[in-house]
Amino acid sequence: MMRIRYLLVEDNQDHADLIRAAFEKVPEPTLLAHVHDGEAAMAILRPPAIAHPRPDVVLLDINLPRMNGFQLLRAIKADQSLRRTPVVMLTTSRASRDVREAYESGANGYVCKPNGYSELCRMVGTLTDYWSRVNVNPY
Amino acid sequence: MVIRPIRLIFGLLIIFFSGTIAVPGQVGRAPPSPAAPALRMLRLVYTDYPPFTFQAPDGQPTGFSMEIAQQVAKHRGIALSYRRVDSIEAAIAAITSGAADLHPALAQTPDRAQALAFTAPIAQSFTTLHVAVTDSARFRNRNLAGATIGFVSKSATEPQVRAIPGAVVVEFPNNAALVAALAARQIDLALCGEDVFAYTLNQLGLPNRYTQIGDPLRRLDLSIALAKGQSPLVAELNVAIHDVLIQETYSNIYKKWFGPPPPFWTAQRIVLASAVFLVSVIIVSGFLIFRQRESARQLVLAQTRDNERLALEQAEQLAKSNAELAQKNAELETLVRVVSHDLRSPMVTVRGFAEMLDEALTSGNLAVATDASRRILRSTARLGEITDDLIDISRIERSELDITEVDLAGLLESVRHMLESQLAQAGARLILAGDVSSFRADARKTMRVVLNLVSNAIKYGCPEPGMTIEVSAAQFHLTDGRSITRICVADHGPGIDAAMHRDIFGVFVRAGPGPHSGSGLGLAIVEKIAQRHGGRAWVESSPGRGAAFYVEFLDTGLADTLGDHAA
Repeated sequence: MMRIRYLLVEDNQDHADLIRAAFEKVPEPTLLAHVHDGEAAMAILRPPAIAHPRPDVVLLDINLPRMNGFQLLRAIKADQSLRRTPVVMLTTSRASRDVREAYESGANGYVCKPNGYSELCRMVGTLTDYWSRVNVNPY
Repeated sequence: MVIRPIRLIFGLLIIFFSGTIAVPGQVGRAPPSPAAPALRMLRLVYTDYPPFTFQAPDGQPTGFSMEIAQQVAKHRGIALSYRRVDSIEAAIAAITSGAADLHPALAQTPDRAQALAFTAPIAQSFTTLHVAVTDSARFRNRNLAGATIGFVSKSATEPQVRAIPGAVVVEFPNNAALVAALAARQIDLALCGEDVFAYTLNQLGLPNRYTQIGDPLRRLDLSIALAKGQSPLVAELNVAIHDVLIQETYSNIYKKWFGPPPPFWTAQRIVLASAVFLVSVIIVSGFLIFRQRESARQLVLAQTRDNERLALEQAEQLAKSNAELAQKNAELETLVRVVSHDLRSPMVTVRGFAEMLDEALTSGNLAVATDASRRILRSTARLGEITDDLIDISRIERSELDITEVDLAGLLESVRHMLESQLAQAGARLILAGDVSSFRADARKTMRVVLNLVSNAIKYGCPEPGMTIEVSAAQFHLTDGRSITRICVADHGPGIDAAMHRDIFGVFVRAGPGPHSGSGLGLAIVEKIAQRHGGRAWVESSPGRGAAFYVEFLDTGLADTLGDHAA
C-alpha cells in the first residue's frame, strides 16, 4: 500500500507533537513532514518534483509567522505545478469568515483542531482514509 | 550670519583632498584620490522654507533642519555641497534624477514616499489653525463656515483645508505673507505649523496675540529625503540622527530657532500703548452709548440664533458619540475574535496532552506522562498570562493617569532587577544611554512600557551572549510649553522586516516563530500606554541591523489634543 505523504505547516510545537502522535495511531502507513512557517513549506514544495517526492496533502495552520496560512494557500493555488496538491486547513479558528476565506482561496478542506486527543486521532484516520481513495498522485 | 569655522575647515579640506574648488550646485562626488582617504561628499538641495531651510542674506544656507542635517553629516564625516532651487518639485526632481543626493527637510507624505526614501524624522510640525485671540470666540464651536482661511500653496495640508465645509480658502506664496495677511486681518484664520507660526511672528516683529482653534489638522514629520534605493545610507544617517537627537546639540539648535522671543514690553511701547488706550476709551465710550440702543433689538435676534446653534451642536455631539460607539464596537469584535482564537490554542494543547497523560498513566509509561504534564503546566501558565494582560489592557483604557516625575535610572534599575534571570540566561547587558534623567509621566505605566520592551529585546534581540540593550530618553519642546519625551529601547539583534513594523503592535502577533513565550500582547500594551499619554509608539529596524523601539509621551494631562497621528 502506498504511503500518503503529509506536509504539516504549524508554528505551535505542542500542536505539531499532538498531531504527530495522532498520526502514529492510524493503521494506514503515513509520512508526516513538519515545518514551522510558510517560507519553509514553499522550500519543500517548490523544488523540481522529480528530485524528491512532493507531499500528497498539505495540512495548513492559519496563524503563522510572516506569511500567514491564507497567503501560503493562495501561493500554492496560484502555482501551475502545485495547484493540484490538496490543501486542508487545520486551525483553531471556528470563525465563519476564516472558513469562507479558506474556501474562496482554494482550500480543499477545512478542519477545526479538535478539543481532544482521541478526537484528533479519529480525525486523522478519516483524513487519511479519504485522501487514500481520492488522491491521484500526478508524479 | 557668521560662516561657521567648521564648515570653513571642511571646505578647505575638500579643496585640499579633491584638488578642485567646491562650487555650490556644481560639485559632484569627490573623485577617489589614491593618496588620501576618500572624503565623502553629498550634494544637498534645498528650498526656501524658513525657518527649516533657507538662504540667509549672506548667501549661506541656514535654518533649523539645515543645521541639524549639517550636524548629522559632520557626525558621519560627510561633507556637504549646497544648491538652492525654487520649488519642492524641483528639489524632488533633482534627487530622483541623481543631480542631488538629499534634501534636509521634506515632510513625509505617501506620494513622496513612492519616489523618495526618508530617514527618521528630525523635526515635527503640527499644522494648526491660528486666529487672533479677539476673534477666537467666533470659532469656538469649530464652525468654520464663511471663514476666510489662508494657507501656503502646495503645502502638505492643502487637501485638509480644502475639505473644510463652507470655508473660503486663500493661497499665499509663503509663511511670511500668510502671517502678515492674518495680522492685517485680510483673512480670519491662518493654517500653518505651530513652530513656523511662532517663528514668523517673531521675524515680522509682531506680538503674539494669536491662539489656536481645535486640534492640529496634521502632524508632519520632516525628514532628510534621499533617492529610493539608498537604504544603507538611510540606515547610516538614521544612526547619526539618533545620536544628534539625544545630544545637547539638538536642544541648543531648537532653542536657537524656536526659543522664546525677546520681551515685547519695552518702555517706549508702554507709553505708546497707554496713549492708544486713552484714545480708544474715548472712542469706545461714544460707541457704547450708540450701541446700547441697538443692542436691545439685537438681543432678541441673537437669542433665536443661539437656540438654533445649540440644537445643531447637540445633533453634532450625538453623531460624534454614535461614531465613537461604532468604533469601540468594531474594536471589541476584533479583540473577541483574536482572543477566542488565541485562548483556544493553549486549550487544544491542554486537552490533547491531558488525554495522552491519562493513557500514559494507564499503560505505565512515565516518560510520556512527565512530558505531557509539563506541557499542560506550560500551557495553563500561558493562559494565565494572556488573561492577566487582557485585564491590563482594559485597565489602561479606563484608569486615570497618575503623572509624577519619573527617574529613568531608578526605573531601569527596577527593570534590571525584575528581568535579572532572563538577562543572565541570554548573557545580555542593559545600558542607560542619553542625558535625560527624568521626565513627567505615569510611573507605573512607564515601568510597564520599558519592562515589555526590554523583555522583548532579550527574547528577540539577543540571540547570542554578550550583546547589549540600550535604553535612552530624549526630550523635545513644543512652542506652547508642552514637551515630548521619547524613550528608545534598542538592540543589536537580527532586526525586523519592514513589512512587520506596523503589525507587531497588534494583539497576538509575534515577530518570529520558535520557543518564545509571552502573551502576544506586550507591544499592544506599550502602544496603548503611549496613546494614553497622548503619544505614540513605533519601531525602526531593518533585517540584520537591530531594532529600535520608540515610545513618545506628551508631557501634560492633554492626552486628547494630538488627535491624528497618521501624518
